[in-house]
Amino acid sequence: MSSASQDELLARARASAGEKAARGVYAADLLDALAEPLDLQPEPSVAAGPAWPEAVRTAEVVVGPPPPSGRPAVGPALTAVKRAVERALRWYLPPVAAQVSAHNRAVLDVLAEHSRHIVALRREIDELRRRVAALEAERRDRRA
Amino acid sequence: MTAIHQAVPVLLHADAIGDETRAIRDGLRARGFESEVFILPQDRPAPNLDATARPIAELLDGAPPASVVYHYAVASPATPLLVQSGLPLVLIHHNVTPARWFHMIDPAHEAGMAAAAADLALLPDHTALALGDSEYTRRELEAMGFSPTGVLPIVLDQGPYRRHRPGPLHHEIAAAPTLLTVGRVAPNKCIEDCIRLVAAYRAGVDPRARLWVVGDADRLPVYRDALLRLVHRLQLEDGVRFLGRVSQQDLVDCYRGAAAYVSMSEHEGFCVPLLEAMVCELPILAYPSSAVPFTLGEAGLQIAPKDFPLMAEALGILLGDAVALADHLERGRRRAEELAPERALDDLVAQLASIGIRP
Repeated sequence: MSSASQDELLARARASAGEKAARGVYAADLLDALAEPLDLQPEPSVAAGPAWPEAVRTAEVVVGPPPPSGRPAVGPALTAVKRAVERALRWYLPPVAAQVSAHNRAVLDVLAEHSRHIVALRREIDELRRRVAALEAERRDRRA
Repeated sequence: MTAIHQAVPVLLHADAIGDETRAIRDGLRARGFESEVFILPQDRPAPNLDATARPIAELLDGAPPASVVYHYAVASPATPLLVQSGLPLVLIHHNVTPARWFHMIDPAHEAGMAAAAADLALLPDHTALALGDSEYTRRELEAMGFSPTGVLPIVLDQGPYRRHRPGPLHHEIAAAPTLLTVGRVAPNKCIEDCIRLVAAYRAGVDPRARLWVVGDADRLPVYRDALLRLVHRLQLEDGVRFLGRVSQQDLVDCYRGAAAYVSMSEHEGFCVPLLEAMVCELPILAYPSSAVPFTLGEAGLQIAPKDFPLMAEALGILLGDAVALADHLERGRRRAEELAPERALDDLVAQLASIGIRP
């Protein structure tokens, strides 16, 4: 639009927006919601780094059957002994593994939450940097 | 016959750079040049790969042309190959979105954009002429040390937008006042501000209003999910629709049936949808960032800063004022004519002549 007709239209829009704001058409809670930053929730790996997938992969501790022995002659006997030991400790190892897994999951949740906070803070810092740069540019323009 | 070939990493159908590359090839041929398009080897060819493209090895090993027009938008092995070849390059820079827009959203995208910006710095010493698709991009090129520089607006075939028969989506979008925005769903496009705008528009101007977002929304799920949370927060579940990528027929249906086009983007190298909207005679409300003011010229309602109630009121007044609207649309029509492809192609030939390349 030509600058004159756009200025005239904007003047009308400003008056209309002001009048509607006074009547509560643009309610305070709507304006607050419009001003909220976008709620970005990146994957924890964005802040937690490249080790994150491995931390997730190994969090669950699994107690499985012992691997069979491949040694010649004594292999079957060794396998039988391992199985016997595994059976003997079955009352103990699985609950311990479950407890460690639960702990690991809780640690991952804490790390993920921290990562989200770090991301939010970094974005806030980015935004503040942009605003500072804009203000500095404005100040330079005024001086010039 | 003077040969001016083009190089692109890949030549696709239904792709903005692909469409422009073909239009330039055909335009150069029509103006007396020999012209082919060369691409990198494709390990897994895309289904919409244009089979008329030839392998870049033929360009590097064959008789040297008068110039190679290189379309630049992403980091690719084509850049070092062309630099090492010593072929006379004409750069068409489609602009690179600053990596910071993808910070904390997609590390791979962020790294890709940073690599694209770094690779561009390899080219000034090997480029005979650098063209930006807008004055904004040309200034960036100049600041990077390219010389001489010029502007070549996107060469868009406006025919399919003008010769259009309305389809089912046209009737669907026209059934309620719909604000339209088009482009990949990426953080520099500030789709969140389009959502905020429609929330303000509903509150202050028309409660039936809605927003349709056309463009790929799956590439950046962190950003898309944040937009969906915003839609929920503003209780706009019935008012915002993400259509994803659409066919040309559906795209023009959207342009032809919408009430207005809105762009809140904060980084554009040209912004093709603004031109498409002008061709389709759609009112435009835009935030005048980066290349947007250069693409719109005197067209479009351009408002800064982003005061959403003010923007909503201004758009409401524009759409309700027949005289203002007619003037607005006329300015859009004139700007679309200025950006007609034949003019751009004539301008390209003139700029090539300025560096001594003639048919």
